[in-house]
Amino acid sequence: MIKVISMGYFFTQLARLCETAIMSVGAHLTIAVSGIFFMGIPVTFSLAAYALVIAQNFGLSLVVSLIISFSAVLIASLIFVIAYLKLSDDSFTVFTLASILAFDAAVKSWDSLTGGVLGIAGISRPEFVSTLAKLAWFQFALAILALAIEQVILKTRLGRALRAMKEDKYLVESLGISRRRAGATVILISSFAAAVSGIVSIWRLQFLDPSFGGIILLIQIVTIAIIAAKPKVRWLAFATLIIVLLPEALRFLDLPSSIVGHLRNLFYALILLVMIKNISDKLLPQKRFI
Amino acid sequence: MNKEDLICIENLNVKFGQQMVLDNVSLGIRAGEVVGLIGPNGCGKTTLLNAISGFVPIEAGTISFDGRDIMNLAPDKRATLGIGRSFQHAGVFKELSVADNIIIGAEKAEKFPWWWMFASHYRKKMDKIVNNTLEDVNLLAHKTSLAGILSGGQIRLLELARLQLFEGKLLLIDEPTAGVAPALRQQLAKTIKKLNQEYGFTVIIVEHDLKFLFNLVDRVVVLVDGCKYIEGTPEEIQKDKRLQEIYFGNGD
Repeated sequence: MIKVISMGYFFTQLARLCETAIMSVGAHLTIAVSGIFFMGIPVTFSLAAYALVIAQNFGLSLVVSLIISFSAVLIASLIFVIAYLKLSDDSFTVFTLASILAFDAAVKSWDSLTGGVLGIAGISRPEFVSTLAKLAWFQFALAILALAIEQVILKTRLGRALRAMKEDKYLVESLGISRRRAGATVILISSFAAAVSGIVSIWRLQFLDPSFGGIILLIQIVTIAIIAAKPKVRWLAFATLIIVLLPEALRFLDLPSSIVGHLRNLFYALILLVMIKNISDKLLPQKRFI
Repeated sequence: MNKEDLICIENLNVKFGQQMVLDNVSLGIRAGEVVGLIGPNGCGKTTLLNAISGFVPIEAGTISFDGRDIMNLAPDKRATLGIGRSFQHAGVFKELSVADNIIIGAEKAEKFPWWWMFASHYRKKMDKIVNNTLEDVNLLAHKTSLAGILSGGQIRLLELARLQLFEGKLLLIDEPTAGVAPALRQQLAKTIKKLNQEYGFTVIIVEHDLKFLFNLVDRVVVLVDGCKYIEGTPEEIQKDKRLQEIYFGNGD
């Protein structure tokens, strides 16, 4: 049975696309461009949303709540930066993966503050994005801004350093470029991009529970980062478009809603397999390795 | 050691696990000198370069550069102070274009602001630097190609071309002729001489091709089993019978 596409559906998809694009900028810069497997993006995504909603539930204004939210994200991202500076690459990846589970456990168990597994309902949108259409266009503007910032980063010294770091960190350091500073910068940028995405996402959903973020979100953004293998913004935009919108085809099929989410993850896995097996060899130029 | 030395290494020990890779090595190198480091495989030549550039932890000893103790500085800080480096396995970024490989060195050396890409006068200036540098090593035709498609010899030339732009005093060059065809070796030697004579770099070269090395250097230091065995001019080194036994074998 084919459902009719409404304006509401259009704006929801536009908003989803933009939220994912904002968040994927960070994943693209860390994973695809720099080769830093920073898996903590879902943590700052969820943390920003929880901190904002909890602060507002305590009666604080939007501006103060936003300041609290970004301060919480700053603390979390500084912890990630310290881990990046102190741990080996592999250990850093495991640490950031574990942080997703730790955050999930904290949210579920601290139910007096977070609402536990039941979550927090009835989250109101700020006045300037009071309707879904307004929110979607606001998110669209933010997504364009995020992609423009990434474009600037890739064109500048930091972008070149990040691309070079992925290949040979020792050679980068021998040129007088601090690998630690570049890595720390990109982790901070990545965390804040995810935080912005988390905040606008919660304004769309108006409901927050532990399933917001987590491993499912990580699978999505890692898939995008890997498909957008080249350090180019248009690749990121293209990958985001595919990953967010293609699985939507599943909605138009008469499938039980309980399996649609699982099918979407299966779809991501298939895309990754195809990408790794066939497309990457054809799209990326052949180089001499021996 | 004397006060005029640009780099002064004293009683340097480097250990990997239980193995002493450099054992009590002391060496002083004057500004403007070209010094060759030779010795059998595994004698610690590359480790000595790594110790100078800060890539290996040091067990004991001191290293000072330009009168300053650099023992506690990270590799990027040592490079900023003026210690440049080329690696045994050619030091270019294969995923970056040939031009970007030059730009990544030039933007640091020329102290361009971070936003230089967005200002036309800086872009023109950089374009000129890139073109001149690549023309110098006959790589201008490959400017927009990925460095990964270059041959081994061209990669070496690209690496040395980037070193020309390095804002510093000392270059550590590790096995420049490795994987390079004899026809290109002359060009490599010419480029290294130019780095010393025109650009004023003090150079330390690790090299197994002794003919290539002896034509290039003022002084040779021989390492054997992590210890400094002998040092002298190329002529003195070639005459040394002990070296011939240890480095070339005893002829049996």
